[in-house]
Amino acid sequence: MSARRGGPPPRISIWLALAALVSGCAIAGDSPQAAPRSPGSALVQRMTIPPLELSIPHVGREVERRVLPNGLVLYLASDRSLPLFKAYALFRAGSLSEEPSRPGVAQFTASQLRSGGTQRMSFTVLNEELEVSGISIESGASSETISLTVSALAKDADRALGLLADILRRPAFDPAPLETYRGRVVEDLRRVAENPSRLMMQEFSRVMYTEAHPSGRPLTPGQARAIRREDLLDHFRRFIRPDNMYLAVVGDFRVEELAAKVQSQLGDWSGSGPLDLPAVPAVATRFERGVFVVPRDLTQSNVVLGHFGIRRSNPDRYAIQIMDIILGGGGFSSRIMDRVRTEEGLAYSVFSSFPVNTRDISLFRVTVQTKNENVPRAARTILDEMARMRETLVTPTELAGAKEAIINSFVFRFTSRFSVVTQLLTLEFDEYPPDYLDTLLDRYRAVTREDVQRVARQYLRPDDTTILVVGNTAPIEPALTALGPVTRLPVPAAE
Amino acid sequence: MKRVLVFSTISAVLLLVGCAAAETILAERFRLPVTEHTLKNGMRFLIVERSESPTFSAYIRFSVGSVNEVPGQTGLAHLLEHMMFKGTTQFGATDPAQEQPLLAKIDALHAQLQVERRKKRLAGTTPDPDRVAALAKELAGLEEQAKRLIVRNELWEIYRRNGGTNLNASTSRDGTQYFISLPKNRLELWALLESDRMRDPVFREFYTERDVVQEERRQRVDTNPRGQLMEAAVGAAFTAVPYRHPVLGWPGDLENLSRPQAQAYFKTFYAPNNALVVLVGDLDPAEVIRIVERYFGDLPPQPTPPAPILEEPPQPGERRIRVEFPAEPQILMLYQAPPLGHPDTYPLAVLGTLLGDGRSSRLHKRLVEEKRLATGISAGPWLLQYAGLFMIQATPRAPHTAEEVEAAVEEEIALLKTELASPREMLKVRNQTEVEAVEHLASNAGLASRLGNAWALTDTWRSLFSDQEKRAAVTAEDVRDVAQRYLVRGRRTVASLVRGGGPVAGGAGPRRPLGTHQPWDSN
Repeated sequence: MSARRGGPPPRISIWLALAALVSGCAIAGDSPQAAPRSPGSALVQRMTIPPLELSIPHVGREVERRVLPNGLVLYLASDRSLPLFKAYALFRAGSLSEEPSRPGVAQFTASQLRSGGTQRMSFTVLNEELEVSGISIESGASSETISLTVSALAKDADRALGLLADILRRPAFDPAPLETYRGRVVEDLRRVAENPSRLMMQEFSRVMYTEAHPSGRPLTPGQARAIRREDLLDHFRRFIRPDNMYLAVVGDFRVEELAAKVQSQLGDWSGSGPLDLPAVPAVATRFERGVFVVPRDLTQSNVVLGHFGIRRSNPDRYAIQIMDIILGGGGFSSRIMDRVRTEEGLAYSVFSSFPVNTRDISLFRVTVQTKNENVPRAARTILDEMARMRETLVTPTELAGAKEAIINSFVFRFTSRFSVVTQLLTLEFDEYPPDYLDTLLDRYRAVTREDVQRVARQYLRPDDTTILVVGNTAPIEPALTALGPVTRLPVPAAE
Repeated sequence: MKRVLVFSTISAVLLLVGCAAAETILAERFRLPVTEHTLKNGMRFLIVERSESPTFSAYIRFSVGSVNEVPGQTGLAHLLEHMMFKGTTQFGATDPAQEQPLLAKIDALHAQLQVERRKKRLAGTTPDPDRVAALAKELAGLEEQAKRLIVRNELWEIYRRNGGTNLNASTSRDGTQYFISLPKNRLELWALLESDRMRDPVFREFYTERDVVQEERRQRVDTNPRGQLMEAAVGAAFTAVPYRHPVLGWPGDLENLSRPQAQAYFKTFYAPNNALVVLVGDLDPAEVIRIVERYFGDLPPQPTPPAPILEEPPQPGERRIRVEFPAEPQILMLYQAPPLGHPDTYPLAVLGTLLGDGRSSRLHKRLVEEKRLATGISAGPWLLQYAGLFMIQATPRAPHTAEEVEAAVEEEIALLKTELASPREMLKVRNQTEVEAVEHLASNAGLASRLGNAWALTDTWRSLFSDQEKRAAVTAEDVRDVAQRYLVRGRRTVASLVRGGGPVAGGAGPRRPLGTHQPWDSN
């Protein structure tokens, strides 16, 4: 894996990519336009929008689901649009399943599955093989998963799947690439302090989750140095096995051909003994006002304001999403962006994010980058907007706008066969009911203004918000104290 | 559906719609039907039919970028791009007639304020604080009045409610481009909104947005080690061509840009005859042509200034710069390269792939895996209209230094100049290029941008495909040849980021265990 492809950032976009909205189903005619305000809005309102047909993809229709005798859950789809072959594999093997004494092992295992070679092929030969054929296999770890993505020309599908199987079944974990990777991780961690937004998120997680939870213990260079090859092998043996695998395969073939390919490469694979998934430590929530400062002498501060949110099983998630879109997650239509950026010109980047799709409780947060002296003003504005969500009903226009955005953009969830299949696979992996997509839009439609206020009151805590600032706060100390008791944190040292 | 008379006065005069040289061709190999259409006013359209989903992506490009800026107005192309989202006479305000004189007064006051503030920079004069305060107060009042008339972010809001995604825009050295993806039944809405902002934008909230862009600069450059290094390095590598100044503009220019400047720039460069549009998706070309004729056909063409003739002089020798910043080291090596379209650019692209693309590429294998001098390294040409650079950038891995990385890169370059790349290596590059080419067809938005970019820079969208063929035809000898001619010491700028220039990050002493900071830790 080389560093980002060369060239300076050639383009400066008008805004940073916002977290994609999770969405709902798009049928035209479903959209009462905004009340006319500008002369032009009447033109838009009068415009006839022809109906749009959208079929929600289903297992058993566009996508076929099978379970192999060895437990592997397989999603298959034919895609004749381009001569390509793609696969996506998920294992329940992320950082939350690490042994507490071995932090970082999931990330290292994911990396070295791909980079460490196989018992049949050294890592250098494997890299050559893949790149000569233009096949890409990449791996990664998140808190819940280890995932692999495969992409190849259709003519190389057998080769690609064969190499994936070799990687999954017979990884070598060669010490040489392991040391290379370890060095890269350590160097990367040495540089956290020079990336203020990354430093901000890392320290915010540390403050919120505390040492009691893995999410509050970001990897240190010392821990990265302590990981041994045996730890990777243990993690591999325990989790990388067919009865813990969810695989999506899409390509320029008939479904039966795809199924036969998978069967021949992974059908006779089995794990040893019963699958043993560890209990994941529970998040303990606390709500407490406070300001944390990581001093960095820069012209602009990176600020996050937030508190604990919800887990994915929470039935209020739909109302919370709509509330968050109106508050700060809906780009230029949201209240926080409108005030902090558009009206007051305090920041280029400002938005909220209320994650609703995590196994355990995650963090609601608003982030803003503004020059140091404007930090208190921006923070105060954001807290005011959080309070206003609780105090008054959102307007009918705001609610309708958020719903229409979700409903009318729903079609973009299904723009390729591969994205359809990986979504359906991921829904099963995340234990959503099979009819989830069918009922989703109705759940958004059912949200009322009162619901939005209710969830704002229940889940937004402006008075118990934790604020973390990476920047030079010397000129604004008194104003910060007014936002809560101030604690100064050390900048993580480059060990 | 009936024609919506959007701009009655203008359309009455200019209703003569351009008839079209429409042409339907098959994009080689993958049988994508492509239709080209040019309006009478010179605005060009490309329609590519892909029916993967009932959506389409639109890409509008104006052939103007920061290269067209004049001294003192750097950053104007980019700020103008932001202003294009602020509405028009039709959209963005409740009462444009009442707003108009207010905006003019605000401009005048800002101009006076600027005259006063400028005294700070001139010898023997100082701003009069009372006058500054009085102007600021008057401005605040007027801006408050103007604000009451604004319907903020209406374009965004309309697009969003109609299912629009990826609404964005970007400015580069050579071009400015606007993107949106919509459900296919919103084609006419798209045409209405886009033709409207090409016709009659109102740059309201100009001076607030200027503040936003200054924050953008702080975020991308002032607090970002890579941004710092890149800005300094590119500024040293180009001397004659205005590529040397940053797209975001210099801070001193940025804080003095004015709305009349943006208006003049818009009038000159955002003309239909200086624009092209690519639409990719589930579209009927005949219907698209009917709609774009109706909405864009009456936009008046403008005399656009002839493209400047710009040329970067050959370097007399190597340039080296050292950029101090409180961060760990990084290195950038920039070799002078020819502009886009020059025959040498194809072997240079292959050279970049061979050096820096993928785990088995030469620099990665040697510097990252074997010698472990760097954690990441990339290489490749950065091709622009008037000049190019071949860039190599690397992140040294402590305790190794930028100098060690540079020396190892030079060894690899020396090897390329003496030994031919193996047939297998050349095959690898060809296959990688091929896969990339197919994958680029996979998304509407990606295909639209690539076609539009190729079309704008080479005058034919077909160059997207013919360039791939030219790269595939490159031989090992060609690669050796361009390495010998371009990757030479005397033609390069080496820029190195060195810790300094501010308080040192890290080294703040041993970490206290964080638990002790938690007010709730005793629970």
